[in-house]
Amino acid sequence: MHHVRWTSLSLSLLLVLAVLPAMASQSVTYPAWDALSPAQRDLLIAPLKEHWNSDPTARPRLMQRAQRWQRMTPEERARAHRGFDRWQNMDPGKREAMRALFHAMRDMTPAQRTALQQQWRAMTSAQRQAWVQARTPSGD
Amino acid sequence: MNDQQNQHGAVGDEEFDRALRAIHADAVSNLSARTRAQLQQRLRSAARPAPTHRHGWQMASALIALVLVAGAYWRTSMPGAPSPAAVATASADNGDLVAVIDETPDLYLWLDSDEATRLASE
Repeated sequence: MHHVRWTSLSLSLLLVLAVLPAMASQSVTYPAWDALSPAQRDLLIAPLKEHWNSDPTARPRLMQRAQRWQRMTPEERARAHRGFDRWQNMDPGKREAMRALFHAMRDMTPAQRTALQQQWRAMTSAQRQAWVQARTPSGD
Repeated sequence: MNDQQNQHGAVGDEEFDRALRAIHADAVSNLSARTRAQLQQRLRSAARPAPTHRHGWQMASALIALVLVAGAYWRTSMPGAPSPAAVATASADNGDLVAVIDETPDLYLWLDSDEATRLASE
C-alpha cells in the first residue's frame, strides 16, 4: 500500500518537474539584448566563451569573424541570418559542397563564376564529390 | 521623541557592532594555525593586482567582440518584441551562437544569394 502511494507521489512529482520548464518558458518574456542584465548576457554567451577557451589556435579566426559581423550593415546581417538558417537545414554533404563552392568562387570574376556554375551543372554526383574533396576550404 | 529613538538606535547599533566583533575575534582565535596561514595566503592573492598586460586587453576585447556578435545575432533573429515562444527557442538553441561563428559570415551572406540558391538546388 505504502509502495503504491510512494510510486504515485513520485510520478506526480516527475510530471510537475517535466511541466515546470515548459510553463516557465511560456510565461517569461525577455527584453531586447541591450536591456538584458549582464548575468543574462553571460548566460547566453556561455557557449561562445567555452568555444573560445577550448581552442586557442582558433581564436584569430573567431576574432576575424566577430569583426566581420560587426562591420556588416543591418541589412547584410539579416541576409546572413537567412543564409545561416539555410545552412542549418543542409545535410553535411551539401554543406561541404556549398562551402567549397563559396571559397572557390569568392575571388572569381563574374565570367569565371558563370563558367564554374555551368561546369557544376554538367558534373555527375561522383564528379562533384571528387571536386569538393579536392578543394579544402582555405579559411576566411 | 525621534531624537530619543535615534539615540537608542545608535546605541543599539554600537552594541550590535561590538557583539559581532567579539564573536569574530573569538572565532578567529579558535582557528588552527594552518587555517590561518591558508586564509592569509588567499587574502594576499586577492589583494594582488590582476594582470593588466596586453594579454588581458586582448582577452577583454575578444570577449567584447563576441558579446557584440551575440547581440547582433539576438537582434536579427528576433526583430521587434520577442514572443515567449521565440525567446524559449532562442534560449534553447544558443548553441547556434557557436555555429554562427564557426564559419565566415560571408558564407552565410552568399547562401542568401540567387547564385547560391541555384547551386544548392541542383
